[in-house]
Amino acid sequence: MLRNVVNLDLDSAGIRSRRGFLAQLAAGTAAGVASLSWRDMLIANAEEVRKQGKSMILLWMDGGPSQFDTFNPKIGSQFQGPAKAIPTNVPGVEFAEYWPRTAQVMDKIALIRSMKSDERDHFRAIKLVRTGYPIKPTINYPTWGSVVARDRWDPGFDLPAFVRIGKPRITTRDVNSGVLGPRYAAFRIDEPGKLPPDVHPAASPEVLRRRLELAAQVDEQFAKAGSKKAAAEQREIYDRTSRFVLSPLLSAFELDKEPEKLRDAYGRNPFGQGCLLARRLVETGVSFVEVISTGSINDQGWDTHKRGFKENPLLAAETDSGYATLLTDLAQRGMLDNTLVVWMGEFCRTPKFDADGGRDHYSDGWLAGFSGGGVKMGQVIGATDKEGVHVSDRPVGVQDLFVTFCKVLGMDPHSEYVTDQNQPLKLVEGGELIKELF
Amino acid sequence: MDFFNQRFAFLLPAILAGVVCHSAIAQESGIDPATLPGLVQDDTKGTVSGTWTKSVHTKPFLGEHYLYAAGGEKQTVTFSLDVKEAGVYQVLLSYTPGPNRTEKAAVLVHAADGVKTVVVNQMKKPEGPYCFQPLGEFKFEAGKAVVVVSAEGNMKGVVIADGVQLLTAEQFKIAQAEVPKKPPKLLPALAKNNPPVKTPVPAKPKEGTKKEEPPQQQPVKFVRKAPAKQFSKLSSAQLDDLLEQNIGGIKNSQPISDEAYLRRITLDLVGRQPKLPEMDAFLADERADKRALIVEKLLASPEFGVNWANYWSDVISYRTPQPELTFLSYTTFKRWLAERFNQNAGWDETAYTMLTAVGKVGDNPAATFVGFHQGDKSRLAAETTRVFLSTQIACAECHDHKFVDMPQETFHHVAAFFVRVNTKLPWNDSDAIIVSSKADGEHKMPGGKSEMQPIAFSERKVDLGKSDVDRRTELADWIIAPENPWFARAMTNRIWARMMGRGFSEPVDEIGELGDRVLPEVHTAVAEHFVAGNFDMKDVFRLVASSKAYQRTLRDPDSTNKDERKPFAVIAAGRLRGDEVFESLAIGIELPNVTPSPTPATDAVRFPPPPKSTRDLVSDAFGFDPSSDASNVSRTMQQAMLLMNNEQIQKQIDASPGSGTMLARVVESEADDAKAVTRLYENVLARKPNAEEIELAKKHIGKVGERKAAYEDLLWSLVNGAEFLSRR
Repeated sequence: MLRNVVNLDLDSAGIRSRRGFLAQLAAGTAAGVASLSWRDMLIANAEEVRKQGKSMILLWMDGGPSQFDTFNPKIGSQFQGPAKAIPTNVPGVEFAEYWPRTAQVMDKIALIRSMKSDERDHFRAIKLVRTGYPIKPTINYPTWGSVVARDRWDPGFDLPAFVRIGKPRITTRDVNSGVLGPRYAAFRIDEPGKLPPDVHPAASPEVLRRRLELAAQVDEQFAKAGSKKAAAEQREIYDRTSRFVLSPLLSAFELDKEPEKLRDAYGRNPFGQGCLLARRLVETGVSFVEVISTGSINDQGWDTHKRGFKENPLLAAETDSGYATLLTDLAQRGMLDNTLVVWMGEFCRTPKFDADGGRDHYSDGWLAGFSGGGVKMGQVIGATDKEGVHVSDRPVGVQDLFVTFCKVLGMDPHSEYVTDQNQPLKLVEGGELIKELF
Repeated sequence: MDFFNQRFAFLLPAILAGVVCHSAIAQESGIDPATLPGLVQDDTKGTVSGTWTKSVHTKPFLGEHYLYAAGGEKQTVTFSLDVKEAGVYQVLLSYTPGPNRTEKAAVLVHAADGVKTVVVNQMKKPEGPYCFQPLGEFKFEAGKAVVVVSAEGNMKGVVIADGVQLLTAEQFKIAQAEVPKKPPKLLPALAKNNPPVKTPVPAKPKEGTKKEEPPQQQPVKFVRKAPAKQFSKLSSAQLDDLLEQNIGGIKNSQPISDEAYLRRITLDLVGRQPKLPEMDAFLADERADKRALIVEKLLASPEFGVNWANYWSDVISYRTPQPELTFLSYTTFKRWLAERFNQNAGWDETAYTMLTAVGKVGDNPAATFVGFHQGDKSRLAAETTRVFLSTQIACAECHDHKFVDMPQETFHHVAAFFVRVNTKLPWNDSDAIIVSSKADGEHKMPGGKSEMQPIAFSERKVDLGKSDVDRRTELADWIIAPENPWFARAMTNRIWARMMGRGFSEPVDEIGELGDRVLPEVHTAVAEHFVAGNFDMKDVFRLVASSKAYQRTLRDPDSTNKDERKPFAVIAAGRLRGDEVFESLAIGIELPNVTPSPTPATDAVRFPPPPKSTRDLVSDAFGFDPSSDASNVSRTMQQAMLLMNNEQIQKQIDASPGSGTMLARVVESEADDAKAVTRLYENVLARKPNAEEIELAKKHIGKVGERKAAYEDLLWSLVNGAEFLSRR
């Protein structure tokens, strides 16, 4: 019976076949279950675990990428950079020449070319674009991944709901779980393929289990002496943590079992391998993954005040393969419909440039790419004028992005949570759905 | 007496090389003798004969202080250093120069070939290294090298005796070369009493001339004003009476055992569990008032100030947003604050100093509060009232407060006190943050047109046009006034919350209407006790520590029993802060503190984050905002993983002989399992195990079969249990 249902050739309607598969799994015998591959079980589990909600991958271009050197080349404008334009696989849409692979997956991208905001300062803009809230000194708004983690919190799931891959180029300009507290903080992977220290048990799993049993007995004594609450809390977090550090799902964080050719396709650099890791994590049931791109050249990242002509092609070279292969890989596995992939930075760059191609901060006409999650792909939304100076059509604000994230992820943007300082906060304040995406 | 002045000719090259003694930045405490090369003896270790006076006034100096004497019979300080190998050594004398010093200080060096006298002109700056004057080379046998600083024949000026150093020729050469590049390492404690600052009148710019920056107005030195009414102190017995009246069950309560009392009071006062020798001594002590005595001992320990400075630093730091390009380090602030607490400075004086401070944070750590908030008037309005008055007005920044009668204007009248604060933040190093004053400026409400007058809650009004320092002084004066019921109750609420499991008002930084308030008259009595003691925190600790209410068993309240729902009827185990967890690990398993070397800033990486020491890692994982509601502070996976798997910690959970750990010593030296297990419990949990716990351990040893592995499991389970992390 199982053999009829199991269909490992995934098509775009893969979801339906997998739900049926899951039902068979539940009804199946232990022997039947054991005959399934680990990966099949994972995928089946992932659905259940996400409670039929979709995952999100944020590809964060740290520093504010130049629109002229990425996806809005403005050929003919006096502010055009040295890059030529190349066609994409969507007629009429051109990219800067540094992005040959991404150009071949434009049919999987809904590209917004008319993002507008008032923040041209990194610190303020990062707060705005990652939290959906303009910076406020007295409230530490949580980064979006933490908000999603809170929505998807499942004490029965071994892995964290929110994983961050890579480090921001300047550590003081960062966002965290803020008022949502440590429970919904990102689990941080500095280098894809390596788990952070303290995750791997120092002793063998057998010894660790033995020690955990003993610690439970020690806590029982503390409970008997009158501190049931503290002992219970300790047990709860130790159960969860031991499940994590001993979980077979931890191998999702390893990359060495992936085919070499696929790893090459993603790009043998931190961002590329980070995208591959993101795919694996989403496959395993993680709800939100951030992959940070800083270019690995210096701490300027995409913030090319200097050496713009020299560094933009290098930045693109690090990112092009990863972005394109991620979308292709997700599509091939039938995961794209259930995974929202967003490409953006905190703003873009000035039309005027220096002798070395350096551009300053600019926030009139920055870019955001939406893929997957059921959105209408292969389209361009909004435009800037001929010279590339102002948004000329369909301006989109930051809160609009967040309302749209909510729609895809199945969250109500107006719902509130209460912070650890007893202050009610909406998921998103204001903003309108970007209807063109649906 | 031979005069060997010609010895100085030998040193001419060093003099010409310009070895400088005084560092450019004002030194705040003595040079740590342990960090200097060769043999060093500070005056605290010397033998003093006659009357010498201690001072810390002139810097730099060696150790905790230096001594001076004017002259008289038998006035000497004898330094005696252990020379291991006979040979020729450079002898150096540490002293602080000044116009009132003697030009003829007599130093008698008991060399191998006789006593040689060197005359030192102490009006001149020592040539170095640091505050040392090289006296020349002398031969010494192995054994004690004696150098005597004598004021016996002194006729004019004072003789300074600070310390003596012996260096080999090699060491001397290296020291002279290194010193210009390296500042000396200082002792942690700070010098007493900053010298008073004058308040200059700012110059008016002349007509038609370029607008000059007025000189920075300095804050007025704190003067405690006599309170309008008399406040009275409370005794612990009276406190118990009040509590008995309000909740009952105090008078007849059974006080906890000596072992438990020592553990709790040590955790509460100095932030760690007691060490084994302390436990042994306390249990053996037969004095009737030993509990009160141990309280005094702990309050007098420098660890007290360090612990409570950590607490207050966390109160501030958890609500201070990270600036854009500066890493905030609270080390300098904590050191300063610890010293204030240890010197019994009144909290009114400390708060006043923090609110009115100007200058560079590294030089004037009091400026940390204003500086780290980047002079932002909204943040400072919200945080000043929250931190010092336990009143939260932040909601009213953007609209009328939704839950109490507080219009938006109230917030902005407070913000107006801070409108002229100016801060300059450098890249990376927060010690270089500078707080200064803007010459003008007024505050307007967002969207508003009129300038907001600085007004503190309708009680203290200040005119527009007042300077930055004047405004902040007015606000500080109002905040700390003995008649201000909020200030004393805010501090006492926090101390009470730590010692008694919950504050009189919760959350602990909200004592106004919105707080969950209980027993207000008891709170007021404790607050008045604090005021009556001139705002010395230690008074509040004494009061509570000796009460019967404090000395009851901790346990979770029985929710089915309505009497137990009364506040303070039953106190549950609490939570230890991050730094307390580290200290507990340092004592419990001898966890060392390892600090990796800092990464230098380069063009490619301009903002390298400062390295994290083991203490930092533990504090980060276990730290929490002390003002948070207890229900909002949860155990995290990061904490569990740290204790379960961290490499540094696991290294200490190693019973292999030769590993050098406490565990290895216990396992090797104690063949009797009951005794070995007892020692583990005493080290980690500061108590003896009960019979059941010993049985449990024995069973486990039997089950595992191998003693080493079993004991590692046992130690691991104690460190990974809830009790270790609990305030108990």
